[in-house]
Amino acid sequence: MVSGKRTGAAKGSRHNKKYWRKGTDIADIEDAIHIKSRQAATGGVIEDMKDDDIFVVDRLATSKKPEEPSMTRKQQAALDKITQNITKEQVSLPKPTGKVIKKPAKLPRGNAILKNKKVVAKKVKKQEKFDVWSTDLTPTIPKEKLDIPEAAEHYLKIVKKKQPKTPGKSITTLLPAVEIAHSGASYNPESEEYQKYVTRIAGEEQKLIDSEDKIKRGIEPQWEKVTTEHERFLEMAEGLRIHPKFGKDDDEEEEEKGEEGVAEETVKNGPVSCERLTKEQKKKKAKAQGLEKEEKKRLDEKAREKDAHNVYRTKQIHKELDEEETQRHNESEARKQRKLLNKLTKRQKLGRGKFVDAEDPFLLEEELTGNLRQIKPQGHVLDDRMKSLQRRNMLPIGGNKAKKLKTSLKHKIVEKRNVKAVVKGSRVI
Amino acid sequence: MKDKFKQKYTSGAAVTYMSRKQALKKLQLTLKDFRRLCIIKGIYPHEPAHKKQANRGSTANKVFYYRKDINFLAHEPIINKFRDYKVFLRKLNHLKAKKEDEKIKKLYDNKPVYNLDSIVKERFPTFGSALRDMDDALSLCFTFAMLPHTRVLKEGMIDSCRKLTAEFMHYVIESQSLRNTFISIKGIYYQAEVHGEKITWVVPHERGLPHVTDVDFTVLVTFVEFYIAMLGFVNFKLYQDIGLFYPPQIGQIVNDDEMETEDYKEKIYSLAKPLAKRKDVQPAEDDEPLDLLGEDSDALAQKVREAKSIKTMFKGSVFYLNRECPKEALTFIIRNGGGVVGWEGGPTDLKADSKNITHHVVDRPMDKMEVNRIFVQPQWVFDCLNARRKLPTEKYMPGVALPPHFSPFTTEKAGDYIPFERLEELRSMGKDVSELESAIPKTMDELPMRKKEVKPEKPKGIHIAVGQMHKKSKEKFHETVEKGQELKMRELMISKKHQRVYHSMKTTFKRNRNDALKLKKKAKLAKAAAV
Repeated sequence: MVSGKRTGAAKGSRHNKKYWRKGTDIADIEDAIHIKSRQAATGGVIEDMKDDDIFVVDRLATSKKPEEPSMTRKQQAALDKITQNITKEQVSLPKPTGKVIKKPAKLPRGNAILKNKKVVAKKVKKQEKFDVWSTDLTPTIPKEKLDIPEAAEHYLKIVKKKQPKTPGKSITTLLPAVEIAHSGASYNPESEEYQKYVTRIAGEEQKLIDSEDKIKRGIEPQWEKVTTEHERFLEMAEGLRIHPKFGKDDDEEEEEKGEEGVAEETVKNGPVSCERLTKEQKKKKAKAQGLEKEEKKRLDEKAREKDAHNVYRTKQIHKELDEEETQRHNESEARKQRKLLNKLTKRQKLGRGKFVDAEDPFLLEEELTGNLRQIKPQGHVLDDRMKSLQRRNMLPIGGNKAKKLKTSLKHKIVEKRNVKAVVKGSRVI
Repeated sequence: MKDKFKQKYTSGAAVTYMSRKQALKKLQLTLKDFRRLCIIKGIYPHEPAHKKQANRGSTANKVFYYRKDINFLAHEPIINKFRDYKVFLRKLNHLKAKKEDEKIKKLYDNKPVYNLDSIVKERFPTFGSALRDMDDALSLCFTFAMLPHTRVLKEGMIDSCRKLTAEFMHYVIESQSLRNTFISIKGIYYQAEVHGEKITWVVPHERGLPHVTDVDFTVLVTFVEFYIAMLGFVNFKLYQDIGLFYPPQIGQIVNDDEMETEDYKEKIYSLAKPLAKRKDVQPAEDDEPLDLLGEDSDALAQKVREAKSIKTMFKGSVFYLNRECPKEALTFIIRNGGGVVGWEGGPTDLKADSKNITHHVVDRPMDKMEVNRIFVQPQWVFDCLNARRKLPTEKYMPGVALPPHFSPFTTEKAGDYIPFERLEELRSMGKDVSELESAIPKTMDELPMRKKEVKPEKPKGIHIAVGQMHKKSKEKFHETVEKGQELKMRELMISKKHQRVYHSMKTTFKRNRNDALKLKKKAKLAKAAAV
C-alpha cells in the first residue's frame, strides 16, 4: 500500500476495524525488517557490533600537520587581492542594478549592418575663412532646376533664403566707441594734471555727499519742541482758579485773552447795500456808455480805413511776409539741427531704468607707485564697455516696474476656531 | 456732406514705432532670443519723437523700436535656428531623463548652429565700414581673452578671442601701424592707423581682472559672438592685403594639425617671432616720395614723416625683457618699431648674458649692471613710441624716479598751462610749439623790467632852468590806452542781449589765464625746491 494514496477499505472511515486491518501503512516496518535480515546475512547487524569491530585506529602519520598561518587575516586578504589583481584581468565594477533597465539591443535589419560599417567618427568641419567683401553671398538656384528668374527670386524670398533690402541704417551716435581716460589717470601722472583730475572727482563726490545730507536734513525734525516745566504746570492747572499770589504771568495772559475776545466781538459782517442810482447817476452812466460806443466805432472806422490803404502797401506787406517766412524757416532749421545733434550725442530714454555713469577710477597719491610693476589697476574695462554701449543708445536700460498700490482690498473669509466648534445640535450656554 | 473721421493711432509716431512687447509677439520669440537677435543684427531701440502718440496715450517708459526694423527682422533665417535650438534643448532634456546615451550623442552631432557670415556682410557692406567699427570689437575681445571661463562664458569663445586678438596684433606689428599708446590705471590704450582709419582700443592690465557684478554677461557675450565672426573676416582681409598667410604661420609652413598644438599657439600668442610671408606677393615698396613732400610743414608730410620714424625707431636693437615686465605690451611696441625682442624661455630664447643685447628692460632696482648694454624701465618704450624717436635713456634708468607719462591723446590748446616736459616732448616730435609757448601767460619776473629813468639832480639854490616844452602825456595818449578806450566804447555799444555772453567769455579767459599763471608759479617753486 502506498501512503498518500488510499484505496479500497482505506478510503473509508478510520474509526472502524476494517480500516485498522487494511488502511494502516506498514511499509516502514517491512523495510526495516528487510534491512536487518540482509545485514544478518552479510556479516552481522551493525547496531549490535562493538566500535572496535567497525573502526580501526590509525596510528601512522601519513599527512603533514596544517601550518599555522604566519600572516594575520588582514595581511592575507591584502596579499590575495594583490595576487588576484596581477593574475586576473581587470573587470570594471558591475553597474548598479535596480532602476536602470537597459533596453534589449535592436537587431539590425536589412542592410543596416552594411551601413553601420561605413559610419566613421564625424570630423569637425573647420570653417575656412574667406573674403566676405569680394565673394557674392546671395543664394541662387541653378538654371537646370528653375530657369525663370522671377520664380527663383520669389522662391528664395519665400523660404527666407534671400532677405529683403535692409532698411536704411541710421547713425546711432557720434560719440567715440572708446573714450580715452583723462591724462590725470595715467599710471605715472604729471602732478598738475593729476591734481586737476582728482579735484574734479572729489567735487563730484562732494556733490553726492551734499545731496545725501540734504535728504537727511529733510527727514529729521529741524527744531524739536520741548515742553518746559512751566508750560506743563499751566496745562495741568487748566481751568483752576489760581491765587494771584502764585501766578502773575497767568493773569497777564488772561488779560490779553480778554482783549482779544473784545476785539473779536466788534468784528461783524459788512452792511448790505441796496442803494439805487439817482437820476443824475443814471444819466452819467448812459453818457459814458454812449461815449464808449462812439470811440469803438471810431476805431473800427480807422482800422477799416487802414486796411483800405493797405492796397497801396502791398509791396511792403509782401516784403514783411517774406522776411517773416525766412525767419521762421531759419528757426525751424536750427531747431531741427539741434534736435539731431541732441539725438546723436545725448542719451535717450530707453526703458524704465535710469542711466548711471561709471565712476572715474583714481588712485590716491600714496598709491601711485610710479612704476609698472607695482601698479594697482582700478576700474573694470567691461563695466566701462557696458556703460559706453548704454551711453551710445545701443542698449536699453531695464528697471523694475513701479509697484502699484492696492486701492481696494479683497474680502477674505476666515472661519475662526470657536465658530468651527459650533455644530448642529450644540447648545447655547 | 458728412466728414470722414480719421481713426486715432493710424499714422505718425503710433505706427513708425513698436514697443518691445509688440515686437516679441510679432516675431514669436522669447525676450532672451530677441535681445540676441537685435544685437547680432545691429538693431537698436529708439526714443520716439512723440512718446505719448507711440504709446497710445500712456507715458510709461517703454523700449521702442522702429517698425520697419522689426519687419526686417522677421525675415531673418536665424530666427528659425533659434527655434530649432529650442527644440534641440527640449529633446536633450527628454533623452537625458531617459538616459539614452546613444541618442544624446547623435543629437549633439546634429546640434543646430547658425552662420553669421551673411550678417557680417549685411551690417558692413564695405571693408572700410567694418574697420570703423573695430574699436568696440577689439576692446571687448581683448578683455574677454583675459577672463576665466564660466557657465555663460564658454571656453571656446575665450580661446577664439585670444586667437583673434593675437592675430590682429601680429598684423599691426607686420604693417607697423601702431601710432599711440597710453598707460592709464584702467588699462593700456593703443591707437593704430589701419587703411587710414584710426583704431583705438583698450587692453586691461595683466594683473588679473577683478570680479564684476553689475554687468549683464549674456548681453556682452552676444556682442562678442558677433565680433568674433567679424574680426575673423577683417583679420583675413588684412592678412591678405600685406601678403601673410592666414591663419598666421611662423617660420616654415606647418600643417593644420600642428597648428592646433598648444605649443605652436603659445608661440604665436607671444608675438615675439615674425610671421612668414607668402612668396607670391610682392612686398609693397616702402619708399614713399618723401623728398617730393619736402620740408614744408604740411600736415600730410608731417604724418608720413612720423610714420617713417616710428617704423625705424628700434631698428637694429635687440631688447631683453626681464621677467617682471609686461611682455605682450612691450613686445608689441618694440616689434612695431622694428626691434627684436626676447626673454628667458621665450620663443626666441634669448639668454640674459647674450652678447648682442643692446637694451635691457628692467622694472626693479638693479645692483649689477653690464657695460655693453643700455638699461631702461618699461615706460621708456611707451614714451619712445609717443615721441616718435628714441628718447635719451638717462631719465629712465632702473631705480630712477620716472618722468611723468603723458597721454598722447590730449590735444594742447593755446592758452592752457602746458608743463615744461610736455612742451619739450612736443618740440621733439617736430610740432610747432611757438604758438603754444607764446600763449602761456608770463609771470611778473619774466616780463621785461622797466628801466628806471635817472633823474638829473636838481642844483640847489637859486638857478635858472631851461624852459620845458609842454609834452603830451605819453601814458595818457599811448596807443594801447587809446585802444583800450576804444574797446571800452565798443563794449558799451554791445546790446544787452549779448553783454552777458561777452562778460562770461571774458571772465573765463581771465580765469584760465590766472589758473595757468598759478600753476606755472607752483612749478617754478617746486623746481627751485628740488634744486
